[in-house]
Amino acid sequence: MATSEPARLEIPPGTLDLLILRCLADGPKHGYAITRRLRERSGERFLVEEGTLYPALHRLDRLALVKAEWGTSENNRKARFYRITAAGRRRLAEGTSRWQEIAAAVTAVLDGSPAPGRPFTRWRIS
Amino acid sequence: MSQQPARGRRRAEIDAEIEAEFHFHLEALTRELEAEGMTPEEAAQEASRRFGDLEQFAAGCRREAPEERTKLFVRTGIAITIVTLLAVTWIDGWREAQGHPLHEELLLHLAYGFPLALAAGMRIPFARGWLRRIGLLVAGSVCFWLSLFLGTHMGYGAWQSMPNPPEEAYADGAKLMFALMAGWLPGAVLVLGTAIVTAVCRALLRLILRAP
Repeated sequence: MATSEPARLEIPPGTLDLLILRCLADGPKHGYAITRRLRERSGERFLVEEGTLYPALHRLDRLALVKAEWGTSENNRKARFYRITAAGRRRLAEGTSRWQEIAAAVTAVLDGSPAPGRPFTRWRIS
Repeated sequence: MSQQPARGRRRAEIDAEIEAEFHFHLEALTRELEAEGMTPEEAAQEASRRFGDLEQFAAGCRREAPEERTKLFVRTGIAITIVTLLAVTWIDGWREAQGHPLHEELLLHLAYGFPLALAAGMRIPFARGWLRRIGLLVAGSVCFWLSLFLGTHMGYGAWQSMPNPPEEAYADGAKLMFALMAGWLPGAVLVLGTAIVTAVCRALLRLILRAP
């Protein structure tokens, strides 16, 4: 019997930065380790070219949400490591909270019932 | 981990760093695929496919390099200055034929000093690092200072070159000295004021956009 592969998902727009910051919250990583972590955590369901990560990482570095440093990898190769900064942790906390609110709101609408304890006026539809 | 030099990299160095970073990724991915049973050729091909368009991602990374953004900002500033100076020169020539008093010449010169000082002030809250912010403050103040001094100097010169100039056209000594010695002060106030207003507007905008 053939095993069915899980459906591949596009990363929702605007969430790649958040996913990267979450991966880095556990400790400094190079780009390849971040993609591996993304693959593992998502059950290999994200449909994304791995190179997409790098412009996002460089943008986060420019915004001082991560800090890039050259170092040596586990295989003794020269690699660029990224470390989350205090500003990055704040952005991650804000982004996570907002994402959870949006997800709860969308789920509530799809389920046809209001989310418990949250007035609908809190959510902005843009 | 070694600290990466954050500033002053040349384009070739930026490109080399991006290439080294991509190379590390592709090499690691190829090794992983080989370990899964692919031949080295298949693994390299698959790694390249999974990574995507190298050139496109390299261009994306290059655009984010602080040096490239500074370069773009400086080039834009130079282009704006050249266009403004050309316009000022043209208007100046036209006014020369008409005859003009001091304040008109001064306004013409402030037409480039003022926007450049404003642009520098607006850029300060977005600049990374205090050194860059101070650099913008100095650059903006100097632009305004120069335009003030040149406007006063050329204004009096033009006034004096008019047929039968009045006596006050020769009362330029003290005013020129004042513009030269203290002209940086209004420039710095303008740049700092613009920076503060921009920072406050930015904070308010963030607050409004984040408000539930």
